[in-house]
Amino acid sequence: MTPPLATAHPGPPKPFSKGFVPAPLLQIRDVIYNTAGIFQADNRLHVLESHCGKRMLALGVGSLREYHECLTSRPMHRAELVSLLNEITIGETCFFRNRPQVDAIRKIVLPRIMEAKSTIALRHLRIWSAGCSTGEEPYTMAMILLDESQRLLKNWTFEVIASDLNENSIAHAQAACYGDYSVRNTEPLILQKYFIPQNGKFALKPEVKAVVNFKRVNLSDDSKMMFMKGMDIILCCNVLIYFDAVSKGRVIQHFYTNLVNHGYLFLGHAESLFGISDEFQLVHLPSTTAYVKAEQRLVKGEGK
Amino acid sequence: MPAESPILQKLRSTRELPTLPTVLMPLLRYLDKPLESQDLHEVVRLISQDKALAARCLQVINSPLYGCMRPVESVQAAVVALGVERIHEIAVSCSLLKLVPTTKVEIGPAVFWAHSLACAMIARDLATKIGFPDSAKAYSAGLLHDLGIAALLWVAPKEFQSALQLARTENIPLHMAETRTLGFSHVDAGKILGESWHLPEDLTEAIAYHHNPEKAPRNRALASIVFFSDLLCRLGGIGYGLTENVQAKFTDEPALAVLGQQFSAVHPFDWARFTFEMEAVVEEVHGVVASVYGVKQ
Repeated sequence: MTPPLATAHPGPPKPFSKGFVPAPLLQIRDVIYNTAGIFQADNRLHVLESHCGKRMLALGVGSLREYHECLTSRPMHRAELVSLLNEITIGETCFFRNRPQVDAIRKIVLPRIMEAKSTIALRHLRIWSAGCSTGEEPYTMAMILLDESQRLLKNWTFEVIASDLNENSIAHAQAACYGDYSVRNTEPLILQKYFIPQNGKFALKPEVKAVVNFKRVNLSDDSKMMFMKGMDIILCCNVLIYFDAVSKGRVIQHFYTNLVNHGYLFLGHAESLFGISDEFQLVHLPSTTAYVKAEQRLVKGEGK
Repeated sequence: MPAESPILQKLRSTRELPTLPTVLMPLLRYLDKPLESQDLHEVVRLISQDKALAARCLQVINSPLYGCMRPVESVQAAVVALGVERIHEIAVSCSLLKLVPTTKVEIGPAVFWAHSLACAMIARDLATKIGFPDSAKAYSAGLLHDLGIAALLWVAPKEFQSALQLARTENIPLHMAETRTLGFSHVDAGKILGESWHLPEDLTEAIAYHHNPEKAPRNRALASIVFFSDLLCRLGGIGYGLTENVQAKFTDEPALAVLGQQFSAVHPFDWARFTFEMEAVVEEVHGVVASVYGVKQ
């Protein structure tokens, strides 16, 4: 019998059977989690293997065991980890990408923030998308804020600050014209409400663009980070995974200072701050997690 | 003290109770035996005497959940392939496949079993990770924790439906909706059923206290493990199709203090990773439920 080795058209990778995951792959998962803070659950391991496979092909490495060494002990292992992370997160961006996160912000987090702010006269919300890439995330926030502007957010003002290191990404974001791939998760109603069809693409309406304010910010630039104050929510998805432990600690410290007392930090899907910050506390929301800055008022019996 | 609800009174006296699955008690008792007197032949015999149960067990064993290399065709062979602990788990789970009635309310047998199974698996994993000495007990407790919902579906389906409706429209936890509409919750009903079935005391306690485990009189750790497993299931999208608009900060939960007093692995515990790991469990459970009930949920 011919062993089922790689063929010219292997098709999409299939999930592993329980107990048949190659041990080096589990080690690679741990390396990624322990250094980058992003976790690949068991049902995603076959996808991780295919990402590793691409990198192994590029490096001419024959086995996962050897590739594990490329990520840990060989020269340039840090750079290789970045290449693998690029494989893992590539092409993920689209509007409403992380639906549970968007829903949690809209249905749970916004009402809580507004309640916390009800004691002060300031009826203004600030949301920061840190590492906004081509703008899908901050514009998603802008759309949900606009959607709530006549209901939940009546008599409130709001703004979305969007920052990235890459000027090309920011230029793309400011042009605010997107292809099919970017709107693949967008409901028809939202598409109709906030976009204008333009030469086979989707251009955002000016009212959405007006909510978002783009800036070029390097998250490692202490002097710039000091000016990003008074945030109610910070979204920083799949960005911190590229930082080493020391820089990540510094960025997190800045985020902590930048958030108001009741503020929330949202990371990417399956991204964790475990071992990075003791000040932020993990909170569980429906099908997603976030971090909160300070003790929040406890509602008796809630969530039990 | 207010008078007991007529529904609970009915539950105490009625003969309409869901009948105790025949093999459940011997299986649960088996686990309470000292290790040296546990006999795997006894488990095989128990399962094999109920042909329908044995067939269901084999179906689960051959599902991707357990990922056997080649088809397993007998309970005996399954013990060899997976070990007695897993077979025991599967048998206890399968004995509950028909626990809730096939009625018009949204929580039918498949939906009920999915939540119970997911909670059992997560309770077992959590127990193992924190060093709780009896992960099999944690599994059983997770599996049985919502027995009270099954009881309510039998004796008061209409009333239960109104609680379910309230939970759905207000996006609040089910036990809170029950308390508001019925004046008590499924933990009270579960306690009565656990007692009338003469379940091992610690299991009945976990059923009765899984929403306030710090109040449990004896095994607070077991109830706390079930508390977190249940919460993770409900927030992880495997909670009877209900969405609760709540946030939970585990570090503030009394249940975490309970576990922290007994298990050093809880200081600190990587809840984020544990939560991410759960995604695979939830997917597996949906798969096995679909194959066992022959439905897509």
